[in-house]
Amino acid sequence: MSVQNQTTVKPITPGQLILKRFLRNKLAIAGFAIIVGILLFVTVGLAVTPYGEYEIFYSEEINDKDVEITDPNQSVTGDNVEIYKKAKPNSRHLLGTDKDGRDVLTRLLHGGKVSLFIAFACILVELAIGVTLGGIAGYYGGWVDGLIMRLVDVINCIPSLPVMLIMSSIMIANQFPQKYKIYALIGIMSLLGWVGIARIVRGQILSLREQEFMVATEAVGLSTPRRIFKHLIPNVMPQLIVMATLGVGSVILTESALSYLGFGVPFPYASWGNMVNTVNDPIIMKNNLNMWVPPGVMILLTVMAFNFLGDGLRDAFDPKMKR
Amino acid sequence: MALYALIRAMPSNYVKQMTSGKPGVTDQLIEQLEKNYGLDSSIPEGYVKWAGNVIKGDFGTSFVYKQPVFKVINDKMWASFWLSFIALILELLIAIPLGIISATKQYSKTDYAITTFAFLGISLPSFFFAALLQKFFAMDLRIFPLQGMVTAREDYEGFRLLLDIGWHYCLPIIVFVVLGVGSLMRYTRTNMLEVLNSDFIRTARAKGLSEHKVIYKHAFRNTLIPIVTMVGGSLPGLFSGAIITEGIFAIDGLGYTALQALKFGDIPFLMGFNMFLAVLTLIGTLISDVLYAVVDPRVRLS
Repeated sequence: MSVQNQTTVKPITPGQLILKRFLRNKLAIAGFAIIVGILLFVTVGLAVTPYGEYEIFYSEEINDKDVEITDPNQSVTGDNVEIYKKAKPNSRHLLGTDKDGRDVLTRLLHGGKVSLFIAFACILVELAIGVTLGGIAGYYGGWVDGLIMRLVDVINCIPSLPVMLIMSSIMIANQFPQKYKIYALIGIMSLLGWVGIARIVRGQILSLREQEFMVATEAVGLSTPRRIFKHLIPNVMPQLIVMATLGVGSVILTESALSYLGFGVPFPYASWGNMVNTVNDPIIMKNNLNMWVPPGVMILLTVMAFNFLGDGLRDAFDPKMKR
Repeated sequence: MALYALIRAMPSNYVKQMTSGKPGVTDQLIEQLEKNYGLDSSIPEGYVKWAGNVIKGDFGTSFVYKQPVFKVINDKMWASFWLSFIALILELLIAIPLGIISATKQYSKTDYAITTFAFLGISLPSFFFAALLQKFFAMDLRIFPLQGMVTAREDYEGFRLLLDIGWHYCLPIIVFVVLGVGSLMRYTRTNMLEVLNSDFIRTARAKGLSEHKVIYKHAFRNTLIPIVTMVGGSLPGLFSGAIITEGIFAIDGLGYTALQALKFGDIPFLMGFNMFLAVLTLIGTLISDVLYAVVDPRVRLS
């Protein structure tokens, strides 16, 4: 009997419980699947694509029809040779070419790489600043807390979009090297974005540090960094993971909006935002759906997937949630 | 203050923009103009001057519009306000019922459908959605105008003018509503779920009240508390305008004006605009705090 009891009543660890709750949420699973799919699409696609990000294709006019020059040895200087631009999707260019004769699909992949890289890097920096400052504020309290939280208030009051626009126009004017602009973009966005994380971390730590287990760590004589990073931060982890997941989505949205306005990822680098930007030309909007719809759909899918995942994780981590 | 330094460090000097490409403009004239616009002083000096004037209630004169900044903001903000206000009302009308339905039927097919729709709205980039709408409704179907606020070359007056503006507002409002409705719906759903799990709802059900009465008399009212405070807090924000959406549809509101000001280097306007935004945020927080005490009888200001 006792043996049977042991097999039927299996203890479930909190981790398993969370996983179980998470797996039951269809939307969260869908979000996870989409993210994996997009990551695969970008990485595999970049490995497979035969074209370069800025590679320009040419076409030749033969019998009143534009025929692409496929032979790399053929000269591209001639009377009836021109840039193979705004091509409709075909077997060589699955999504056609853009207005400068570059392969849209290849740029889509590179744009995805850039957008995802910016989003992840941004969240990592935000987490680093937010957890450190929020942790310090919550742990020490007093004037340190006051100082950090005033800083948070000030940054919170700054209207982020206008400030980012102003900063980027300064960078453009001062001939800031295009290559490093992506990193500057990450820096600016995370400098304005860490406050939410800092707030959550501080609030959690304020309530946690009064609990018995923290008194115990003090009694045992653990060092302060150890108490913060080993005992307090792990307890804030669920909220952090949820915030980071949802944050990735919003960073992608912000970055694409900036790139769309022409202030984000600079040309000739591709990003989903500046690819949708081509829609500003009414002719392209009307006739060349292949140039601006795919990047838009990619932004939508990615952001939505991260939102689904974040929401599912929040539900899964919440012990009050009943199913 | 840092903001002022940033804006002053901006590349597009208004005087240079204005004079470039015009022959006959001497360096002397440029110097004179820069002096007139107050661009000759150093950054800290300029800031002190600007701040001094602000204390006296003078936000300066917009370079582009040649009018006091306050007047420009006042002129432009109403277009933005009506746009967002109509959108907000529509959002509330859609979001609250749907949020309640998805909370009461948690994890049903309806809930999943509504949730998916909500997230779709949250995740849509405004410029992409606006472009899609323009492509299909304005270019292909020709139901709505592409952009602008009034039909050009038609001098409508009175009611006709109102109709014309309304017709032009349709697409931007759709963008606002679809983008904004999701978060409001999620908010309603979360709050409703929380209320539905509380003890007094169990009591109400135990008393034998009908499900309809439980939800609409007992639960719904309590769900309204956070919603009212949130919506009240967002009211001032309606004046601030939306840079991207207004830009795409060429709506002559505050957001569009701000984008133009950014391009031309209209320093007084940008400073005034950013101050305006900060003040709006503060008023919003204040309103939601006060409303919270007004709506919820359990909260008393002592």
